[in-house]
Amino acid sequence: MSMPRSNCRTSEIFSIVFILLATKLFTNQSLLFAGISGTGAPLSAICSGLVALLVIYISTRRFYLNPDGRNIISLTEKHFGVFGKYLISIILIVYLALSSSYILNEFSHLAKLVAFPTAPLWFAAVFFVVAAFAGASAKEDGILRISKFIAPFLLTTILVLLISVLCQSDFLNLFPILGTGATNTIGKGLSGVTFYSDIVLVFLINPFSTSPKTTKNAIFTASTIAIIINILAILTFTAKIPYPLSQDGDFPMYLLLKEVYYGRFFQRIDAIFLLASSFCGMFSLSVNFCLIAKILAQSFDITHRQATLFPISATIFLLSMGYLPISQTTVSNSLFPMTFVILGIILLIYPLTRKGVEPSHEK
Amino acid sequence: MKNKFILLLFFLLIPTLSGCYDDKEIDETAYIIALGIDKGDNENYSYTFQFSSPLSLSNGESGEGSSQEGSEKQGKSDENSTVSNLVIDAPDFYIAKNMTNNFLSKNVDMSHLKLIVFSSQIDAGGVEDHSQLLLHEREIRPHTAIAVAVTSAGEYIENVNPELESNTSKYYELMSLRSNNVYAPAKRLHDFVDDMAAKNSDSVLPIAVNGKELKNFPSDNSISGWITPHSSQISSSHSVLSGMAIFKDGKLSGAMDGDSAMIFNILNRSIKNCTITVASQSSPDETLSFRLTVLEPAAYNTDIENNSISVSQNFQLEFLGLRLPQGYHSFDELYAYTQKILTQRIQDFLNDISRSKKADILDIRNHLRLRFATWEEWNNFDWDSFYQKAKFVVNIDMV
Repeated sequence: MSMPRSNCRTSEIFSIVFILLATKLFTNQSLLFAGISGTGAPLSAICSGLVALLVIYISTRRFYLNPDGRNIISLTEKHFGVFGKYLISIILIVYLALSSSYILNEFSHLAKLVAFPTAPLWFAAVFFVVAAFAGASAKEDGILRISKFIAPFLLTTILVLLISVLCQSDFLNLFPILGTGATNTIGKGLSGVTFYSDIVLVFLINPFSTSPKTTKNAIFTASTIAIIINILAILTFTAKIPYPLSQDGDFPMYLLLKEVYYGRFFQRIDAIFLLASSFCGMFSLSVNFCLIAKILAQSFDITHRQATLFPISATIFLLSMGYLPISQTTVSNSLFPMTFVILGIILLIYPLTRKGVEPSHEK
Repeated sequence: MKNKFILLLFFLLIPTLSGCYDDKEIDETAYIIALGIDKGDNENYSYTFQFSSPLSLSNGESGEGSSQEGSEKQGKSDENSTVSNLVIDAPDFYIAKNMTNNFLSKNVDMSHLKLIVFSSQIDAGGVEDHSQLLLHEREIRPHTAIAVAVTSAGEYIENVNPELESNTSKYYELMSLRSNNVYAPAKRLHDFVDDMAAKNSDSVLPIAVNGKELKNFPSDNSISGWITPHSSQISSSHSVLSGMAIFKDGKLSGAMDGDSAMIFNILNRSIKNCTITVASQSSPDETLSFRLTVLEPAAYNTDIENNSISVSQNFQLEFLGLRLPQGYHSFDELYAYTQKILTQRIQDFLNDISRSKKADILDIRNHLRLRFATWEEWNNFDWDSFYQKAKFVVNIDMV
């Protein structure tokens, strides 16, 4: 099934990929490395980053050479029929819903911590859901346009924050370099590849541009920058907060933010951090909502966007706030294997798409 | 229609952005600027909350009150009128904080807390628990200064009367975090919690003491030719920060004087420059002062086989005199003599902290950890017994 092309610029592709991969930096998922490897967290982050980059390279190299602009669903349908299409669609919807619930929960907690200490959690969550609902109503073209403004702001904020803290860090806190052992650091630490799982969402928004080669390069460059930023953040966190304290913290970026000290006038950069993290959370949620609506339209012919988005938003809000009989622990634990299932599907389709590639389209 | 709908949604977001859940009127808020924690008589702890009094601050000393008020003010000249102190005995910090609202009409806010003082009478668990609890408080910044009072933390805070500064909050900030006080270590709340939780619980804190009590401190110096400020007296009875309290395994194990604190600051390069004074070789009554510029923190090189720790550091030394003192043939000779005395003083300090205090307050273990690949290997190495028996070899270079 061929999809209509969007007139999407390279900068927009770059921005959306960067935001999607940098979002989890604000959540507690970045504590995963310190929990597994201790002082070896930066090494685990580097290994995971390299594996993620390899997967992204292989995936983008194949998928974005598709001359007819197919996305992961249409490619699955082409090779595995209608059953394959429904299966991958359901897997992706469940993944997106769980991921949204996780993001909503984490960002609501973060916003409450930074700005709304006396407000109930649902207040912060409603704020994100309404914004995501409005963002998703603007369709993927609108989201892509907005990403161009958010990405530079986010990149600058994160870099300023990390450099400010890195200057005052004690690099001796990074030793022993292998932390809790080589098996944990290089073996178990590789599970950190799930940190970059949201890259799969990129394969749903297609085709990015009329120039597959430029698109491929934009995705790869954005992914590389996001991975470097993530590694830098984990390095800074490990150098600043000594082990074993580093494994017990909540919201590593917030803990690093509190360490920034520029004297009396610039003590409170919380406001900028709140803006950057809120934009990031709202944007990621908008993308997820938008993609769920898109999958429903593509695979199940449910095309009325507003009518689709309302129950999606309500369900994710209820799931995130624990009003549904699925705990947040189950949600975060389910994301881990699901990421591998989706990455497995992408890598499974990879050799099958080889035949369909016409090198002439790359020019 | 769709755009109007989206626009309406964004307008709905605006009221939520106004922060109605968090409204905080500045004239309805009481800001705590210092907190003293003592052992309580009836309850576990006695908390001294020092609140800023902005109205007194803005009125300043130029009060327009009656002559009677003026004489009262004069009578209380030693009292700090820009703050208000409140002492509450409670089993727990939060109970004490809640109790403040029993008689304070304003909401208590800790976002301007600048100094936390613990009494030396508090047990080790109390200091550690309170530090961690306060660090995790959203309103408290990790850069808040922290100190130990020799007797009563409350008494120290109540006696604080800033010199040349009308704003007590600013005084704490300048005094503790950006001062040139070479005789006390500059420790912040997050440094102390890191030391306690992640660095084998060996740490130091500045000692908060009444100026006149300084003379009661024993001197750590045993090097002839090295002049310490120990016998010096501050005429003021105001509170001062001088010396350092030593924590070993999380417990307060001892104290060192201001001169040792200066050596600690030099080795860590917590101070960039200071003045050192030595007695003249030919006439011991004559003092020779030098400006010491600390170029870098001390480097530690551990030799496990020979059980020794080599300490090296570079300084810039400048004689603060007009001409070459009597008894010296050249400035090289003068500097060589001073270098020898300083080396001995540093050696003496290192021996004192390793053998007598048995606390790795300079975090030398962190430098050795570089050589170990994993935590398992490091934990199998008996650092404590190595450190306590190690021979220190001090190499200082004058640039």
